[in-house]
Amino acid sequence: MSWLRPFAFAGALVAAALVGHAIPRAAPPPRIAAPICAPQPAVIDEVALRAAIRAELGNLPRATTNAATAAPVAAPTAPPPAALPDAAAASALADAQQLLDGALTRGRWGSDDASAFRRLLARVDSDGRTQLLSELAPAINDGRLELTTPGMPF
Amino acid sequence: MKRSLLWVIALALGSGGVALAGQHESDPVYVDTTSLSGQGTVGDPRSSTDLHQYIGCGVTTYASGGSYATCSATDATGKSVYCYTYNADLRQTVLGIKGDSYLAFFGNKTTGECTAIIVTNASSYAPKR
Repeated sequence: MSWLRPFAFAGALVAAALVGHAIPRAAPPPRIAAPICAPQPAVIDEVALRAAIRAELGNLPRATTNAATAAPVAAPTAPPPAALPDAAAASALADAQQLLDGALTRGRWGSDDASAFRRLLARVDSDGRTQLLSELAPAINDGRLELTTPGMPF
Repeated sequence: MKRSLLWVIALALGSGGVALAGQHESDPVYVDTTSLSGQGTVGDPRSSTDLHQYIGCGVTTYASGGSYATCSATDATGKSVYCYTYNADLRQTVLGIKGDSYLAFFGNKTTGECTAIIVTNASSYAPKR
């Protein structure tokens, strides 16, 4: 009966495959990207190419060929950056505003305030200057700030 | 008779000497915070007996751009008014202030901006001492 043994083994294998039992198989090979072949440099007859280009350009309508010399087309340009306050000017404005707020809290505008304000005002931009002056002037005029500095407020 | 006539003439000349000195005007600094105005002679506050009186204007110009004038006045009680302006005509007017000027300025109380600056240079105002 030993001669039946190979047939029995083969039959068992077929049966196992049919019922889905895992049969040890080798893992699929990793997918390989399709090879990209470098194009072969074409042999170009430059003289013939130039002649062909000239011929094609000659066939273009006149309006098209004259487009470059007609109305100049504005090159697309980046939009101008929004006017940003200079960092030093912004810093000076903040300092001057702080100085003014402090004086308003005290209710007095002295010589030290005047000299510091004068220095800061020279560094702020025109908008900031107007902002500060339009706060300082009414404060003096309605008595919220008493001038203790001799002479001009700054 | 002749001697008394000479006395009369001498007296007349002596009393007329005051008139020959010309008019003198001296006004203390006047401040009105309601209408925002300051007025006074530039030459007098410096020699006033109180420590407060002041009147003046100045022009500031920046090389980076921007020029403005400011005017300020403080009366004998310490009450102050102040205005500023970017107006070119007003700035020009400020430049005409001298030591014997009479200065008056007016402004908008809400904004603090000067609305008028008056400068009078006249012999009747005492020069700054």
